[in-house]
Amino acid sequence: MIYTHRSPALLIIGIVMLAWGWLNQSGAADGLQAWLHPGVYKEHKQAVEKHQAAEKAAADKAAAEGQPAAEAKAMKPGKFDALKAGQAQFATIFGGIFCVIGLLVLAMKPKEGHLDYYISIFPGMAFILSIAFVVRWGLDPMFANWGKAALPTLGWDFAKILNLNYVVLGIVIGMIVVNVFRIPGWAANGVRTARFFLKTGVVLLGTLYSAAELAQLGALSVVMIGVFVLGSVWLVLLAGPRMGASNSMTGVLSSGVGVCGVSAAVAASPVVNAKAVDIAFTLGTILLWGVLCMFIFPTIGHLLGMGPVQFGAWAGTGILNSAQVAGAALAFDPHGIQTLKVAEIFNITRVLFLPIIVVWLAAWYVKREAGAQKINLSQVLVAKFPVFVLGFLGLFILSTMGVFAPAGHYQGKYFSSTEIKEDKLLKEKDIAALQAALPKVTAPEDNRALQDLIANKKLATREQDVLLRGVAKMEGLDKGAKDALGNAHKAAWHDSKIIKAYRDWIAWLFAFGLTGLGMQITVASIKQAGGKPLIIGSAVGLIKAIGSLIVVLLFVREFV
Amino acid sequence: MSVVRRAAPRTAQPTTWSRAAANNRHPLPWEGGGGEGTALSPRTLLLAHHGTPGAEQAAALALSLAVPGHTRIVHLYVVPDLWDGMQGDDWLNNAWTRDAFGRHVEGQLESDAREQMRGVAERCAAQGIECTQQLRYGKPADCLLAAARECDAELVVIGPPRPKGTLGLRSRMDLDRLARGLAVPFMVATAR
Amino acid sequence: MAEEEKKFERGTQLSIFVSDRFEDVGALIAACLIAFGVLLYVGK
Repeated sequence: MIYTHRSPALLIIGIVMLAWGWLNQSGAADGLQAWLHPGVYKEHKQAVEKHQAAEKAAADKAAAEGQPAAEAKAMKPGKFDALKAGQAQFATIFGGIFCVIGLLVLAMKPKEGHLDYYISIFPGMAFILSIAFVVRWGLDPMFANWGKAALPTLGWDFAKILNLNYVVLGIVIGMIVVNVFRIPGWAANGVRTARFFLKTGVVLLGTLYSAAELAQLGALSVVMIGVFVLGSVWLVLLAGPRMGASNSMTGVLSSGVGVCGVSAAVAASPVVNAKAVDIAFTLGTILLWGVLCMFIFPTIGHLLGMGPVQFGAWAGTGILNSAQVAGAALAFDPHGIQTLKVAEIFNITRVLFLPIIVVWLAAWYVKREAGAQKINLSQVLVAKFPVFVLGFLGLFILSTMGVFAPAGHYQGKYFSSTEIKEDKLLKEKDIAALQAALPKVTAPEDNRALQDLIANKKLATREQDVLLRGVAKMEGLDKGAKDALGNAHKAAWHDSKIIKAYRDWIAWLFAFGLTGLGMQITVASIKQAGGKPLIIGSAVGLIKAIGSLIVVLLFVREFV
Repeated sequence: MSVVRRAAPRTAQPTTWSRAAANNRHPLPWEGGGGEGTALSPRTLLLAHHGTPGAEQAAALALSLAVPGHTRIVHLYVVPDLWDGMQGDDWLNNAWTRDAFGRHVEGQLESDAREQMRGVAERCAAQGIECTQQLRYGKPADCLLAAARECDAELVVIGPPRPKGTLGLRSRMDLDRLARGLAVPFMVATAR
Repeated sequence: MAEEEKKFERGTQLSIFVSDRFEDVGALIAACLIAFGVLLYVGK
């Protein structure tokens, strides 16, 4: 089969991207960028005016003293320039690549083989990336502006509460494209690369965790996932036969709603010999729940004032489908990826539970179905172990060894470290604000940590940092004290350039992957939600979502 | 067998849509209005059948219309393309696991199809009617239009839509698309 | 299966699912390329 469509689409996308890069570089798109980013533009204009005034003052002074005017100094690039430069660079690099391959697509006579297969992926990738560009650079700031503009009238920021950011918009546009317009033939093969980029994103996430963070999150996720996954699998295995569902239907449903949604159903279907119609009902139910949860969870999270750890833990446990876990985490917190970091640990824990569940289901099925084929335990464990988790661990180990970030980055600069400079210590004003706040902090541990901070003017241990970050979120604490706690945290932690770059890459990989996944969520498949899987799946899904919310609100504190 | 997703050709020719019960045939419009005319005897009859109760009605109607030694029944079995959206967002698994799932689903769908095809073939053979079969993947109406065109069908027989509230895969035959796209008469077996 | 069955298709009559056999290894390689590429380009 020949996969490459001889279409000019890729070349056209490449040219449009190059043009956008040039428009930004030359300043021709300044008007549009100023409209999209009014706040940043205002800062830029003020800086320009200030710079010009300083130049003029220097020239006047020189003229008054009868000296030749000093050479004008170039202005330091500000946020607005950085924004344009970033877009120009990105658009130029990808536009260039797509133009070259676009020409190749038109020039070559495709023959069946690897070259044809891999070339055919690019038009689809360019298609998704162009949507991701429009969403991230255009619609995201546009909705943010509209949300702010409507705030006085509505009394709430609709863009923020409804999470109309690049992640949600990307997925929604992807879903509109596939369900309303259909994916063009030339792009079809590339849309599948969404999975590849999501896996790449998860592997790259390994660079962002500290050992302590991973240990804390890992322990929390193992407990929560352990209870809720095993609980819901058991619940379905109990309810299925009682409701008259067949063994294979019960098996595939229990893994799907219990572990990680579509991925688990995919892994379990062959083992329990699921029938096509059972798979369709189950996957339809999971997709329906996943899509609903992806929109509802972040809104509830904002309304309840949840922090990244709480929300990440809740989404990571309560959302049936793993793809929507990542979507909800980024929808909740699109511009920092703290929530994604938490949620992905939960996703990884879920997938690590998967082989165990598959073995359990296989044993359960063999016991109930005469003639069912027994499976080899070690073979299942090896075959189902996700390769990308090894990559994640590999990059994490390299990170903790200090390969990627500056030494001490992951450990933080605490009391024992001599790296905190004098000017980073808390100022008298901060200390006064903290002393005023001390009586309000009633928990003995928190109070002790705060007293230590006041005494030392810097954080002494990671545990203190953990406790005081929770304190900073307390209601009723005045702004001065919150700022002081923030300053103390910043003195211990800072983000290096390379970590910021990794975050950017990860955000783009997930934006791309999730937009591509949106293009694979069809109404035709969601419509298959039905039968017993819909009833059992909805009941268990609801119990899991509400149960995990209660557990998170009661027991999970912000500590990462 | 290949994956077929071709758009159906539009035709300006008039399309007749008639209903007839399998064992209680009414005269058809092209048979002459009186009821005493010659029996309808297409040389190629395209039967859309995929194992539902409605499809069974269609099969019965088709067999009642077919004339042994004269009519060839082309049995079309469509696997609806809803499966396109059934694997896309699985990204936690290894490619190996997904491949195993793909093989499993395709194997299941194929064995379901083979079972239905064997059933129809046996019923045709019992009546001495020649039967050929096609397995296609796509939208039911598109597949039927393409099959009708390729096999030069003279009559198309389909089952009635599944009654509301009945459990089954949600993939309906787009009757409007069929009525506009077909260049030959088509019959919808009545629901009992 | 007709003449269209080729090595890039699964081989059943219904070629619904297309295999991406190198996806996992590819993701590892891509992530490492990005990680080390950024390290070289941005520096610590």
